[in-house]
Amino acid sequence: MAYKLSYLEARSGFTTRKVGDAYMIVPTGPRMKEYKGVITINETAAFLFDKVREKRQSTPEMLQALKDEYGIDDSTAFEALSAFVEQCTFANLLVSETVDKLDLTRSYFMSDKVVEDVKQALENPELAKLAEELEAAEAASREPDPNEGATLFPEPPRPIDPSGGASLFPEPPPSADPGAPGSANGD
Amino acid sequence: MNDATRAFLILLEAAIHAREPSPLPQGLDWIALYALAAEHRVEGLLFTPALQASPEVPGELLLQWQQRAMAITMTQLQMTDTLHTTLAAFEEERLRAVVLKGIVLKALYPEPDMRVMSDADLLVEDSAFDGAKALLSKQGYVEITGDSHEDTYVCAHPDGLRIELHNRLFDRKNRGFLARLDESELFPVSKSVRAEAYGGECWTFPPGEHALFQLLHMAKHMITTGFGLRQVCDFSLFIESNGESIDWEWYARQCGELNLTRFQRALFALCRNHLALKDGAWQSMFGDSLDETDASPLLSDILDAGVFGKSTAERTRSAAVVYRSFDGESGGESRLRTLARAVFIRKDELHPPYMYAKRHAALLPAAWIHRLIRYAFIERRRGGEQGAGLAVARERMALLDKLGMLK
Repeated sequence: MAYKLSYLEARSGFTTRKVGDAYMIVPTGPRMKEYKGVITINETAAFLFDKVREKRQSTPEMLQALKDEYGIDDSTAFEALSAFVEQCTFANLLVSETVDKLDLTRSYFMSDKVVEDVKQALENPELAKLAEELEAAEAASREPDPNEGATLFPEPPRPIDPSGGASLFPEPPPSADPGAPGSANGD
Repeated sequence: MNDATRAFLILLEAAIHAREPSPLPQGLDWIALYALAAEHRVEGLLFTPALQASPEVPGELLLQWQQRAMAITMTQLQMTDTLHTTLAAFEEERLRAVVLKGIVLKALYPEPDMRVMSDADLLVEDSAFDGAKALLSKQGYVEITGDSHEDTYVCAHPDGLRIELHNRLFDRKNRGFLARLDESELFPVSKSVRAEAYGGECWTFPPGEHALFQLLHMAKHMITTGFGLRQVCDFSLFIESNGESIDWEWYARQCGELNLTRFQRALFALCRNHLALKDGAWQSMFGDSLDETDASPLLSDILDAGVFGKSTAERTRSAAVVYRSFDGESGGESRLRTLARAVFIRKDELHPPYMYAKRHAALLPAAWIHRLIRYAFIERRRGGEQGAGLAVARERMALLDKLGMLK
């Protein structure tokens, strides 16, 4: 068996905020040159983005967090996480690293820390079981490919669109005015 | 006070204390309320309590309000981030830049991003002024030449943050209470301390000095166009958070020496009655005789002002008149002399369309005549507007007198 275990982390320079019932990701520092506005997201995406902003997370950890937070089943959590990763990858908000579960020795391109984390994650029987189930579910939903193990994120990363940003909402984001409050006087 | 204004104050108090607002009047004019909030630049602060208070906010306004709140959140977050990057550069160069108001006061709000900061005021030692300017330039800031002057270097970052770098806080040519101010005694950079601010730490003044600076800043604006409610919210929250650390005897003595005791009392009455300022150590020196007689006209003036008195053209126009009158009254001048000073201005006070005399000093008398003619004939065409401006100025002078600020 050769499924892949992915690690996700938010790129630096992004912060989430809630305004009323809307959630958004705000670029700061150098990211302001890449994104001229905010990225509107839904509550689940905000929850997941905050997780990967706090620290790097493995996909089983994120699935478990989703299930704990919203009391949803495996397939719903999987769907939500897949959509999140796809959209965030499209918007270039995430850094991901994928490791082979069964052949860690071949992961020479990864840091020792990652290898160690993976080992620890796989020692957790619950996570290992969940990962196997997900791998099976994923494999069942795809055409078999004898040359490749299943991945939690079937879509390869897409090119960045720095000008457009991305929305995890079906409707277009509100036109936040980046140049707004600029009175000359008075802090 | 109409319903929209009453509701505005209810929502503002709820916003700064993160609590559900009291019931609002029925059939409220939400557009008027939003406009008032925008004038005082607290529309972002009021968004959450407005949502909580009433399902009656018109849908279109609500959408616009939410977009505005999101835009404010984004710009404020980004400005805060840029400022901390700049402050880190100051630290690296071992230059101490004291942050006034801004991110220090933002931290006191339940939703710090919604407290709008349009620029950052930094104070440095006189000897560090040139070094600080060079550092800002190295950080990508570009000077706004028209706004800079002797004691203040104004610059803007490409990301939008505007910084006002000061080597002193108040104009040394000021009269009245500002002339009695000994900045080197009250606000030396060496008195600053490291403190928590929104988004990180910074150098700032200890609570007593910072509260006094806020009071002086409001008083300084009182003698021109006035100031808005956001400054009052800042002060009220600051006293709630830091009141126990302030030496109120010292503070009251400074107010007394600067003839600002009555103004301060009116401000405390306003904070307590309309912004629910909590009881605390401040009452040891200012708790007695807090009544509405001074606070009411002050509140009316503040409500009328918008941020730093820019709510109406009349208000803006009245500023010069109020300032000159204040300058004259507090300097003990006769009315005739004040008028003469208003017409026969000095070369360094010239502004368009009299700049020719600035370039050629011999033309100064011509500029005075030009000025007289302009006021006598051309400006008469705008008599209504000027009249309204003068009426505002008269009312404001009466208020300054009532608050004892003309002494």
